[in-house]
Amino acid sequence: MKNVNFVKKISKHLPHYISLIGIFVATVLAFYLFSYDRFFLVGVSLAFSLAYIAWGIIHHLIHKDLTFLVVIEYISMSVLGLIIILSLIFRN
Amino acid sequence: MMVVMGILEKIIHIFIPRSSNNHKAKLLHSSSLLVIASLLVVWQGILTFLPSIGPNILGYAAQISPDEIIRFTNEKRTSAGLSALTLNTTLSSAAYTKGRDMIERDYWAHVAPDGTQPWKFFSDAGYRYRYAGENLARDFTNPTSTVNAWMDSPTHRENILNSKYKEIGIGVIEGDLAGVDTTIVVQFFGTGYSDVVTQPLAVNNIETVEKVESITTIVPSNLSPSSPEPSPSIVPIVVSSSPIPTIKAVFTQPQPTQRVLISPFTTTKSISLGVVGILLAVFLVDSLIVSKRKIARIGGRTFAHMAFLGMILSIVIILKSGQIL
Repeated sequence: MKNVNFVKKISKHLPHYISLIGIFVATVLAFYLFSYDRFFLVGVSLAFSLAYIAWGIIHHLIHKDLTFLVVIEYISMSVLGLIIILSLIFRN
Repeated sequence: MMVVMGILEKIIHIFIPRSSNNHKAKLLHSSSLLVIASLLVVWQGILTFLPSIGPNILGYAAQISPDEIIRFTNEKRTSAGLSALTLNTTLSSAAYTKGRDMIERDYWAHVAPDGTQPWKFFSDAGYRYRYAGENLARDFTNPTSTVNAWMDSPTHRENILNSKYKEIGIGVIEGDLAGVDTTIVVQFFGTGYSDVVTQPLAVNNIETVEKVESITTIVPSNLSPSSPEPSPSIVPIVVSSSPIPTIKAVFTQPQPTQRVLISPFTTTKSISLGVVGILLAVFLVDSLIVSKRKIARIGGRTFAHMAFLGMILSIVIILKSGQIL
């Protein structure tokens, strides 16, 4: 029953999650295909971080549950992800 | 006993959602995520300033044989229908000198800080070239990943699969670059001035052969005025009027037991994998408990955060040690 609810919830937001997964797949592909181009990877990292924050804001805005703390949460996740990736790019 | 209980309480507070952490594991709070991010920045700061404390603390362990680099390079060429390059000891000597120059003057570039072009090393070694090219690599752990990284880059690949080149020289140099123990691979390509293209080349390079006959200056494709750094390239003939000196070729082999305490990249990667793995596990436990207890809370989407961390995990796994130039 719980699984059914979870699937229902995901299905309801399917267009949102498809776009999110699309961003992620494009990012991973960019890292795989252009691993030799450090500056391009930095650009991709910045772009996906901003895209994730934008996705969070738009998603919660549409569902009318956007709060300041939610925005901070997405920013925190993005900053953490960005630091992890940039550390590896520049440490290489 | 009280101390143990206190520690246990703290651990549960950090990892398990309950009333004390507003029904969300403390580790997943924005403040905690920012603290983790700050600690990672501090760690990178330590890695950056560590060389000033002890220059031999950081380094990359490598087992790169020049023969293997040549073998893999020729494998790529023959797969592309090109003739194999022959080892030229003078080119290897020139490549080694270029690598030593980078270590001694502490730079990582095709052009030295004083503007010395890579082609000077060809001439200085006594290699009179009709065409010449250079690929650089550092911090790779084995020859396969080095050649594969060059093949993934269009400009380096162009050098490896260039039908105009007939000879190759490899220099593998170990030394301290910006405080980090490093292995540099210098790959020099060339065609001697006296060489004449007589053997049939790959069909898809007929146009190139025709250009050889008619074009005397080939400009590096992505060399721009704003960027003085040349890409791997072929250059026009430079004829040296001086007699060719006899230079004994020098080859290096990395020491099998390199003294490396901390590999900056590997350490950073391990820590990153650990952080992302722990966060993913805590998110999973958090979502299961919240779902089971039917706790309603306002916050970001757990599924989205987990997908985001999954992507970060994939990227961390994809990123490999080593730089090419």
